[in-house]
Amino acid sequence: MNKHTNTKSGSPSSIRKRLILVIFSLVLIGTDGVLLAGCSLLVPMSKVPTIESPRLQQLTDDAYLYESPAWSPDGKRIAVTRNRANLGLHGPISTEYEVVLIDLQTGKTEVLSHQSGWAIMAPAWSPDGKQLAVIGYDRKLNSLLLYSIDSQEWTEVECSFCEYPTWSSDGMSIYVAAMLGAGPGVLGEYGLLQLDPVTGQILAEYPLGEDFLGPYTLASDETEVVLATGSPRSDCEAIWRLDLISGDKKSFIDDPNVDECDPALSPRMDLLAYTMKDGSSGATNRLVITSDLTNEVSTLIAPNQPPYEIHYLSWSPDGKRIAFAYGVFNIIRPAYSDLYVIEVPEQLQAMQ
Amino acid sequence: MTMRRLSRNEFEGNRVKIAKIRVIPSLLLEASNELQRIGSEVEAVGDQVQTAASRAPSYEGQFGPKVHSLGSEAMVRSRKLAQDLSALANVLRNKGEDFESADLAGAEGLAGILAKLEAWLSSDRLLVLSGFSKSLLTRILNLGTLLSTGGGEVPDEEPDWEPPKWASSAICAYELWSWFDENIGQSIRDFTGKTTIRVKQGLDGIAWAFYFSMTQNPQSQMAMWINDYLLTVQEPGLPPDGPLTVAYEAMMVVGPTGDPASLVGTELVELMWDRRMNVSFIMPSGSGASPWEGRILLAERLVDPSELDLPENAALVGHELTHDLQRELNDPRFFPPGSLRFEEPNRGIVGDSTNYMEVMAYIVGETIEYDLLLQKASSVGLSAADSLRLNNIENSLATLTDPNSWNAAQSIAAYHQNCDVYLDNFVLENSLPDHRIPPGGWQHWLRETGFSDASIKHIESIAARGTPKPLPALDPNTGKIIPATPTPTITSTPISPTSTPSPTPSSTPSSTPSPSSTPTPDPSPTSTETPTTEP
Repeated sequence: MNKHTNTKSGSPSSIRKRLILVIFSLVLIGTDGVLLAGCSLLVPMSKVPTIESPRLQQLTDDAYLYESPAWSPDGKRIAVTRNRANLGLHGPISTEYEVVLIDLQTGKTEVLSHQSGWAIMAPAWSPDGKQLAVIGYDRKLNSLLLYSIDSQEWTEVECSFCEYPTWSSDGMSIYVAAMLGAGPGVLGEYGLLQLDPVTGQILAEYPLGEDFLGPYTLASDETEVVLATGSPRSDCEAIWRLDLISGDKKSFIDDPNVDECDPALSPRMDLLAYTMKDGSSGATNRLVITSDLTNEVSTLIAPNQPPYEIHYLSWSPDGKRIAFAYGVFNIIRPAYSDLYVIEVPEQLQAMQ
Repeated sequence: MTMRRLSRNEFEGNRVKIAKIRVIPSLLLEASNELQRIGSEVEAVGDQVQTAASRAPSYEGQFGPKVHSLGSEAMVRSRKLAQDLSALANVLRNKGEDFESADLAGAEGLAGILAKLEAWLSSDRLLVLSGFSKSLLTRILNLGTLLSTGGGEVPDEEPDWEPPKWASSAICAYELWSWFDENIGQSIRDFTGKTTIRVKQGLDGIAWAFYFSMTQNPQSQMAMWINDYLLTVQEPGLPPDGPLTVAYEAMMVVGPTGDPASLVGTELVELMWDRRMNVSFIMPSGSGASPWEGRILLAERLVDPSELDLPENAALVGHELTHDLQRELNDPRFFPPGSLRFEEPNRGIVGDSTNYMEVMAYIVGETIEYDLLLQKASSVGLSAADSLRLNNIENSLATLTDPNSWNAAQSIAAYHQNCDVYLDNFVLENSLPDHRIPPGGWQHWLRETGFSDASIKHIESIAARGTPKPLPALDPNTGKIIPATPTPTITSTPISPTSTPSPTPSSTPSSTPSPSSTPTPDPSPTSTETPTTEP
C-alpha cells in the first residue's frame, strides 16, 4: 500500500526551519566550494592517499580515474586512460573516457580527442611508436580506433565488442579482448581476437571459456598470452597462460589463498609482474615480480590501505620501471586513482 | 562578466521604500512572536552546528580543523543573533502597541532584521565560506521585502562564460529569500495589496532575484543559466521539455514483446507520474542528491537530455527519485524528510538520510540499469565491459538484499569510502541499537513506496545470480575500512623473496563458463542467447 503523504511546505514551522536550513547550509559550505551538507546529500571527497617510496614517481595527483597506462616504445611518454566523470553513484560515466599522453620529462599532458566525440580508452602503442590503437565507444558499441601520432588522423576498424588492444611485435596485427560471437540477442563468449589493423579482417579467434576482461600480455613470439581471469575492475582470481598455437590454456599462478591479477611480462619475457590480494588484506595491494629462473616472488610495493588497490601494470621498454595505477577501480561505484612509476631494483633487472 | 554593485544611495533608497510601507500593529506583534521563536531556534541551531562541526572528519589534515573552528564561531554568532532577534522582537512589540508610529517603526524593524542577518551571513569568514557576496545577499534580502534594487549591468557576452562559484548555491539563497518573502513580504503584501513579486513555487524566487537585482536582462547568460540549470521542473506526465522526460522514457522502454523492459523502472515512473519535481543540475559529474522532498539535484552534465538514456544515468535518476518517494513516507525516524529538524539531537542536519535509504535506492537504480543493459543486449549486443557491469550489478544486488539489513547498510559505507555522508551515517548508525533500519526488510519497504510484488521478485531473481561481496571491518569512529594486516607505513617493503606461489603449470581446466560469465536473466536462459526480461 502506498503511504505517501504530501506535506504542506508553507506552514510557519516549515518556514522557520527553512531559514535555519539556509543558515546551516551556508555555514557548512567548504572553502573549496564543496558542499558538505545542507544543499548536498552526497558529496564525494575522492583523493587517493599518496604512496611514498624512494623508488616511486607519482605522475598524477587529482581526483580522476586513471587506467591502462602504456609506455611509448622510446620510453619518453605514457599514454593512459582517464575519466573525469568518475565519481558517479553508479560508476564512472562510460561516455567520458579519454586518452592522455604524459611526457615523462616535462610532465606536460596532451589529451587525445576523437573527432566524433567518442569516449576512447585502453591505448596501445604500435611497435614503431607511430600509432596508438584505442577502443572507442560511441554510446552504443565499441570500435577499434587507430590514431596517427604524426598526422593526428583517426582510422576506424569495426570491432563492436572489443576491449584492450595489443599490437603484435611486428606491428602487422592487433589482438583484442572480445566477446566472441556477440550481437543483437547474443551475449557471446569471452575470448581474444587477432585482427588485421588495415582491413579489419579477423585473423584468429581464441575462446577462453572464463570470465575475462582485462589487460593481458602477448609473448613477443606470439606463441602465448598471459592473462588473468576476472578483471581489475571486478575480482581477479588467477593467472593463466593461453597457448595461441594449440588453443589450450593452463593455470600459471594460482595460489588458493591469494587472488592474482594484472599479469605483465617484462620486455625480455623472463620476468612477470603481477598484483596480489591475500585473504587478509581485502584489497589487491601488493605488486610483485617473479622470474622463470628463480621461481621466487619479490614484493616491489605493498601499501596496505584498503580499499585502494594496485592495477594496470605496464613495463617500460628498457625493463627498468613499471607504471601502475593506484586507487579504487569499481565499475558501478565511484572510482578514482593516481598513476605511478616504480623502479625495478637492479638485482631483479639482472635476472633478465 | 561585470556586475555593478549597489551604490550607497541606491541602498538607502531601498530603505526609504521600506519606510513607505504601512504595517498594521497586529502583524508586528505576530512578527515579534515569530522572531522570538526563531531566535531560540537559531540559538539551538548554532549549538548543533558546533556539535556537527566538531565531528567533521579531517580531510588530508586540513579541512577538519577549519570546520571545527567554524562550528564554534557559528555557535557564538547564533547566540548573538538570537539575542538580537529577541531585542528586535521587543522593539516590534513595543512599537506595535504604539499604533501611531507603527509604520516607520515597523519598517525600521524589518530593515534591522535584514541588516543583522546580512551582517551575520556576510561576516568575513562566512562570506568566504559561503561564496556569497555581500551585495548579492543584500539584493536577495531586499527582494524578500518586495523591493527592486533598481539596476545592474547587463553582463558582457562571453563565449566561455561559466556561472560564478556561488551560483550553484542559489537554492540555499532561494530558501533564504523564500522565508523573507513568505514570512515578512507576504504580510506586507496582504496589507498593501501589492502582488508584484509573488512567487510561491520552487526556485522561481531566486530567478526573480537574479533577474531584478543582478541583471534585469532575461537574456543574460546568468539568467539563462539559472533557468536552464537551477529552475527546471519536471511537470506531471511526460512533457516534451521536461528535464527528466528522457530518463522517464528510458525507464519505460518496452521490449520486443511489448512488455516493459524494466518493470521496476516503469513502476517508478508511474509513481512519479502525477508529481511535480524540481530538478537542478549542479552536482559534480555523475553525482546526485535528494536533499528534501520534491527536489533532486543531478550532475551538471545531465542537463543534456541525450545523456539521460544511458543506462547508468537513468539509474542515477531512478536512485534519486527513490529517495524522493522515501522522503514522503512520513517516517522521520527511518526515512527523514530531509528538512532540518530538532527531534534528533544526533543529526539535525538538512538533507539527512540513512544508509538503509541508500540500500533501497541502489537496489532500484541498479535494477533499472541491469534491465536497460539487457534491453541493449537484445537490440545491439553487449561489450565485455557491459557484461562485466551486469555481473557487478548481480553481485551488488546480492549484497544489498542481504536478509541481514545491517550488513547491507554497512556495505554502503564499505564500498563508498569516498563519501563522507555515508561514512558519517555509519558512525551514527553503528552506535544505535536499531541502526536506523526499520523492521520489515527491503521488500516490505519497497512495497510501501509503491513497488509491486512482481518488481520485488524480479529484483530477488537478479540478486540470486550474484555473490554477496565480503564486508570488511569498518572503524566505528570513522567508517573507514580497517586494514586486516596493519603495516606501520605505506612505504614499499624491501626487495626480498616472500612466499613463493611458484608458477605451477597444471592441467587445462574446464572451459565451461562460470554461471556469471553470461548474464542469464529469467525465465529460461542459455549460455549464449540474450535473455529476455521478465514481463
